[in-house]
Amino acid sequence: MKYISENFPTLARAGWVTIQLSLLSFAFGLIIGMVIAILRVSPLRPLRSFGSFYVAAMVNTPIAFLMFFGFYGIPKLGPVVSGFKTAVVMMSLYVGGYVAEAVRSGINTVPNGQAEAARALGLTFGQTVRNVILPQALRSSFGPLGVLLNANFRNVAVAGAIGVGEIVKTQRVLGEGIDPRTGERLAYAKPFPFTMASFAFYLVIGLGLGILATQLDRRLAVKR
Amino acid sequence: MSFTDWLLTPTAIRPGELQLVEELGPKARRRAVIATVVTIAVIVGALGWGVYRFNQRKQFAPELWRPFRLWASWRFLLLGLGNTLKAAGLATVLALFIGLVMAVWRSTRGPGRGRDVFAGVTLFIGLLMGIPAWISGGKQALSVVGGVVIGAIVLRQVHIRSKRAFAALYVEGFRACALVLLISTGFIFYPRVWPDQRLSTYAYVSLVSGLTLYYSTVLAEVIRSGIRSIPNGQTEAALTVGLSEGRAMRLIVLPQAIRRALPNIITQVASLLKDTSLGVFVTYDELTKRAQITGEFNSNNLQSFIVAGGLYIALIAFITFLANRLRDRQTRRA
Repeated sequence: MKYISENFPTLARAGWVTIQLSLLSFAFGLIIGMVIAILRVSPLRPLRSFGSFYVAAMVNTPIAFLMFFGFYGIPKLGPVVSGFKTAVVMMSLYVGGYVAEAVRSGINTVPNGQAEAARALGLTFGQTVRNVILPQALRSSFGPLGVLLNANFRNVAVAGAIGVGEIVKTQRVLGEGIDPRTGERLAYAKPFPFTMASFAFYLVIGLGLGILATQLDRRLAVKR
Repeated sequence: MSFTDWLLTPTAIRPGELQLVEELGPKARRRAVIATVVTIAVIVGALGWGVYRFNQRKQFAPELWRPFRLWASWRFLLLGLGNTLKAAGLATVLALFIGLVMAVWRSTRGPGRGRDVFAGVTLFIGLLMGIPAWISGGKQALSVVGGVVIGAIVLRQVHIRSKRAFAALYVEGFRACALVLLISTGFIFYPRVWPDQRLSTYAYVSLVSGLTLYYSTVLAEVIRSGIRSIPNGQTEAALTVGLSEGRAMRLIVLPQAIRRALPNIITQVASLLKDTSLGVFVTYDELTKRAQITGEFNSNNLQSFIVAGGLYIALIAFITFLANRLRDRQTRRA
């Protein structure tokens, strides 16, 4: 306990980085995913193909790999950005592909009669999607989206590979006996307590998010 | 069929998909053609800008791509891919086995009695605390582990419902942990229990054990949802003809459940294969690591990652394709 309480500010800051990173990237990922999902059901073939291509590219590439790609790739194309920003960009692109799949499968749970009725009333494609399909689709894709939010929270740890000081990297450095903020050696090198602290961090937030998502999903589910 | 007809064919209706458009009228067709041209222009423009910057920064320079005209570079990467497959294969087998056991344990029915739940919880906490204590070399730790082993034997005798509590804790607990954390923790602790091995052995074992722990919980949930999708009548009929609970599960429910869950199982295996790239955290010598090395060696990071990315996408897209085909066939049959 002594080791944890002495380094608590460092650990807390690292946990905050993890939370920030996962929320930011999930918010952007939601926007990207929604757009891609709509592209994938649109009547225009090139738009559908682009949507499918995007999802295939993101779902079939490892996240650690994407992280390195962004880390080495983005600077070569011009802008020099920090590790944190690279991580946000790559995580949101990645999770966007999964969100698109979740939303699309939600769209497919809406009965065909809803779309037919909307067309019979003379709604345009945009109106049908906005006012009839998406509200129902999002309700039924809430469960998968909750799972994605949770998975995203865990995947963020990959950002440690490109030097972002999130919780897993920080506990590892602390466990090796180095203060990650000053770079100075600590008086001890004990990996065990710090590992336990980060396990606890993940268990509390992960289980909490899981329970919250299940409850909300149950409340929002469309009764058919 | 004219070009515009081809362009505007409504979404191909696959089984279970929502039809959002019908035949378009003349006005809508005109709008659609314009929208298409604009989007293609935007996409081509964005790609073109990327290629332009790429060129401007001299990333197409032949000396950056030349290494990939040599077989040696490809051999280096492909051997890395072989190591990726080695870790993924072992982890898949182990995770499937543990996942299956956990799914069956968690699907047992009947009310949970306090005593049984207590036994399951005790075993789980005993394992979780006992093993790290043993690793860090405590003297009492041996007795803790011994107690856990005895507990497990008793558990087998006592009741199936304590297994349910154990499985629930196992699945929910390890599913909430970051995979990177599981893998890197193994890398720190294996050398302490099992000294004097090569670094690459530790890397391999910790990668496989991390993947196994995490994916056994994911697969357990996938298989369990397969079990739940089998109508109750199947179990009831099996019990009526005189099968025991265990045999009804093994002979009647599981074969159907696994067939139904197979597409999702394959999807998760593809995801496991992707996550072997987390081996870079423990210096496991696989494709991502080797792409990094190639990039450093030839100072063409970007190009090496593009080539290795192609390898990943080809392999994983193939597995995903298999899963999707299987899923389509199942929905069509239903």
